[in-house]
Amino acid sequence: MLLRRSGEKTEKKFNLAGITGAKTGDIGVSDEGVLVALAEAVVSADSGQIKVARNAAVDCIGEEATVDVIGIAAAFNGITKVANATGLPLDDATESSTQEMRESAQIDLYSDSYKSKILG
Amino acid sequence: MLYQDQPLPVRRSVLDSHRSAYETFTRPGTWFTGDEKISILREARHASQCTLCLKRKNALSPFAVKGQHDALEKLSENIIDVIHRLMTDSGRLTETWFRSVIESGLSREEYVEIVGAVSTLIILDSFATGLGSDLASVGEAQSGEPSRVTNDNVLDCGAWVPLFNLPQEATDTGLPTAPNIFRAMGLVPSAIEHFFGVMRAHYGLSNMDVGISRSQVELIAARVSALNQCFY
Repeated sequence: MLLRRSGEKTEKKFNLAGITGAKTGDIGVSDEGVLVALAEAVVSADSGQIKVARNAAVDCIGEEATVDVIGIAAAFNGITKVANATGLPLDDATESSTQEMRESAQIDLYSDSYKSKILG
Repeated sequence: MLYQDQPLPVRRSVLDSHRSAYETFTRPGTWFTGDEKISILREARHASQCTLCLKRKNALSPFAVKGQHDALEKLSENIIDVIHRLMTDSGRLTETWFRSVIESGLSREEYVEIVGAVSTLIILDSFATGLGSDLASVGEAQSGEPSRVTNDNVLDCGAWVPLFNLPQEATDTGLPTAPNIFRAMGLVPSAIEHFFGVMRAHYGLSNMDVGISRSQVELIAARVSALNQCFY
């Protein structure tokens, strides 16, 4: 949801539904292919997948930026566990300002109420 | 020495935060001793090899598959279950499951401390694995008793656990001064300190010293959140 905010600040419109897979097509962020591949590899913890994605990132965005991508992916791999394990609701301002975006990107499918309904 | 053989450049702030986090793991916590904390971390690293977790991960509902975890450490069953589910399928945790954990005898404070320790470890291990480095050993536990300090300055805000009661003024990031994610582990303030000591070195809502743009940062954050089925 902060990507949406980032887009508002730079007056760019991103295909946010592309991030969750709710829609296909480019998201609209530079070098998104290598960034997403490396982020996905970090979450997978698959050393082979990581090596391929990391080498591609180094070639495309350089060593320092590659380490930054790994660092951000690692951080969000941790912080999402805190949110998932505490049933954390959205902050009030986010809840009201992101309703339409959450519906189109199908983020509401990750809500505790939906998960409880389908998983028991 | 952390990342000593790493050819890629690791920022000093990240390195320092990781060193500090590993040191904290060995000290007695709020509800667990140093030995217990290290057992929790060893168990977390072992969870990916659990047959039950693999079956649950592949099931339509993880709650439809019964059985016993392949545990490495001598921890109680409810603690093992929390660690394994957090490590292998956190996107499908539910409030019903959380309530069953609490009803089984784990206090909410103990639960929060486990969540904090495991989530901090996930950052450290994901970073090391991402770089192609070996996972660092956690070290020897320091002796001493947990502080058992409770924090009564918490509020029920609709999460499974009460949140830290902190100011909620608006900021230009669109989030309040203390977003819910910062308040989530309010029952155990030392867990917040430990976790965000690492998190802040990796990510900030503003003034980040990184070699990629803000939009690129948020794209990575959003994709990882989606992979982890994280609503927040």
